[in-house]
Amino acid sequence: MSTRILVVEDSRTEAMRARLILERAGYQVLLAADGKDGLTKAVAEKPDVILLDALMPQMSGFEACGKLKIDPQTSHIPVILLVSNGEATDLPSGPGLECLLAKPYDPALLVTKVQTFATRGVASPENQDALTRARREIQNAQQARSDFLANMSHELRTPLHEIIGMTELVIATDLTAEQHQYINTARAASNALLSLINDVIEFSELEAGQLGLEERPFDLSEPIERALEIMRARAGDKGLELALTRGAQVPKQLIGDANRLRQVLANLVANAIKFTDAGKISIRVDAEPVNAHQVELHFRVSDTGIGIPQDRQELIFEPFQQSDSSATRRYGGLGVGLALAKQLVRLLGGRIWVASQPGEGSVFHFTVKMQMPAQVAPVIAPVAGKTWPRALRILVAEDSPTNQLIAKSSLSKAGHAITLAANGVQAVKQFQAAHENAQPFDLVLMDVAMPEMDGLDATRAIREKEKSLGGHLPIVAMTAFATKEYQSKCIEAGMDAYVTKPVRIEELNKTLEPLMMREPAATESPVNLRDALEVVGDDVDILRDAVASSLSEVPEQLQQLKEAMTKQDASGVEAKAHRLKGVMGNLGGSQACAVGQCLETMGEQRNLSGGGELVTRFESEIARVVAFYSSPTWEQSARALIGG
Amino acid sequence: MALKILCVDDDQPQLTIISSVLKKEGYVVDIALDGYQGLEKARTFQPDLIILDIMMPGLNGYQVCQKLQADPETAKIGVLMLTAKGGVDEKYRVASEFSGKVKDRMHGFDVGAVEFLTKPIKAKELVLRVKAVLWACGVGVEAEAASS
Repeated sequence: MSTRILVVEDSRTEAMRARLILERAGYQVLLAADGKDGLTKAVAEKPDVILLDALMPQMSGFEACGKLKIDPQTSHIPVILLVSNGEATDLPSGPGLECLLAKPYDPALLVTKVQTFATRGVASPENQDALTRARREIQNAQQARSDFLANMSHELRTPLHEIIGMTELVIATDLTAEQHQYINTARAASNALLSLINDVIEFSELEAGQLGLEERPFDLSEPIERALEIMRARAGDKGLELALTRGAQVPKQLIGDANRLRQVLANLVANAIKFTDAGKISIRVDAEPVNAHQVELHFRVSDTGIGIPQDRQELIFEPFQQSDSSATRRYGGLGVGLALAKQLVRLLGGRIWVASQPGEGSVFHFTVKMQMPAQVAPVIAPVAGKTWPRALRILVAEDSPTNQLIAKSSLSKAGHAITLAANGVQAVKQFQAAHENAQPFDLVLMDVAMPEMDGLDATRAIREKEKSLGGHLPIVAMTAFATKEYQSKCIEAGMDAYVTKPVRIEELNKTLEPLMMREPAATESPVNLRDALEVVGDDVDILRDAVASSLSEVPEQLQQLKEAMTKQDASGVEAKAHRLKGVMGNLGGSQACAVGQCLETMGEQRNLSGGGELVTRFESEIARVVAFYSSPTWEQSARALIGG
Repeated sequence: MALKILCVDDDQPQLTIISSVLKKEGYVVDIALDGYQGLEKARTFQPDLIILDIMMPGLNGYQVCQKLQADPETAKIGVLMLTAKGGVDEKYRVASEFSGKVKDRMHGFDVGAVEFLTKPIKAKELVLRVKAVLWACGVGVEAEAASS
């Protein structure tokens, strides 16, 4: 009798992938769709090895594993727990897991692990050691991957930035038709390369759970048009027709992440064009209200292309799946596009699937949930047109002469007055000088990696000066480091927004619009209620108790922190800042928490220089959190978030 | 019989949150506001699990842990330690996990019975981790068996 493996996995694609791999290796595979089903089948079927997904609805893999180990009927069966990279840090010392395997796993590795446990059985001490080792390896690999991505994106984007920037400058000069055609081709190719790099980086960030969603009002035709605009040229080249139909119920104004939506659509349309030689691509969008606040959009992208066989229809959404095996090589070249689309759609609260007949074409469907604006007041005032009410005074801090040239010529063309600074020190000087001459800047574009003083330190210095000078100058980071982690570094340093290099004028304008229109006073809420609710398990009563208990002790703690700072008592500062930071963290006060962290680190490093001002800032951030919870409306907002 | 959990933390709001969340899960919860009180209650209350903040004035969490381990009456109790994200204690934790220091300090404990949780603690994670440590100590097993 062949060895039998039970795969407990809620994602059908993942389950099918595991089955495919294991069946090819000669195992008999049983599937269970959730933890409960898994337990029943484990008892009934007595498999030789159980493959258990860690993250499942209702009963998690950890929980299921615990139950398997308690039941004498199943306690002898080895369990391999599948974890995503992002979950690895949260691993408990499991109750009797034999092995951890990080998703996405290598097929050969899976087979080896299964083989080992199928023959050796369970829980010798050496397996436990292996588990500890595996856990550590996952953590290390995660860090290494994150570092690698940050560096890689920098290395790849910097030269690309220069290529695209220079190309755009050349296009704007007088060219013959022939030259124009050549340079356009070069630009299209560079842009294609850039979008591929972006796809890969974003896909990795999504997998690691590092990518967040934006929520801002947008006109639905904008992401659709932007996606189709790029694709029209490609479709035209192949003689394909590109048609768009909108259902009658589709709202025009929505709130959500237009950029992500555009990405998904662009990916699917690009895919359709690639596999269609003749005929047409039609895009259709319909909408169905979910409730008063939400609408579900349903997109269909139909092509008349080669189609996809039944057994591949789920697998094509897996990364690198298409180019994996020789039988499917002719579908190759997709890379991560569809996998990225799948992850993005999931992030947008929808799903993606395909209906297809080989030879007759395919229809890719996806749904996303978006908010409707009637219920939510727009945070950002709508802006008419693309031009600014007046020319802006912009300080560009950038050390590379090429980038200086690109920034200067393109921004000057838009009518703005540009001042250049080659490093952070110069930038701070220019800021000060402009202020003294009563001609302050309207905006700073700040490169992050600069010699002498980098953009982060320069930003901190400017924010420090603003405390006495007043005002809040919008500072936008420009950097080739595209990861979310890096982005949060910029924001922590006091920057307002972030554009990745290569900076393109349209993107820059988009980023600037809300900044330039925003009231100088910070409009973001000091409290992230969602975080606070997560801490108390969505229980408003517990949160109310925690708030009461926190607010009653904050004044005294703050007083003690100030005293410690006055006495230059570093360990006192460390302890008090640590405490207040913890309190703010539990209440979802992320900005206050970040400032508290800075103070704690100062205390820990026994270096309190500049600490007095930081305490003042901490105090004002805490005051904002206190004010937030002192207004009775927070409970309403909390209940609305929970949906109860 | 319901399982008993003792929470030791000098941070009153933090205690409020943890004990409310755990009570809701059906545990019997007692609290202690510092390490000395924690050690005393570990003997009198006889919890199945102790949740222990690391950074406390007076006795810190590691010291409390050593004393718990030295006393045969409390040596078998599972411990879940609270660290703060990016804080000194977390750096310490990471450094010591890799150098094996935690293992030395916790000599006598079943290493599987000691877990760490990073603040701010999410309710869902807290409950899962508590269950995992109880399982690892064998306490959850008896309770499950008794109830079924």
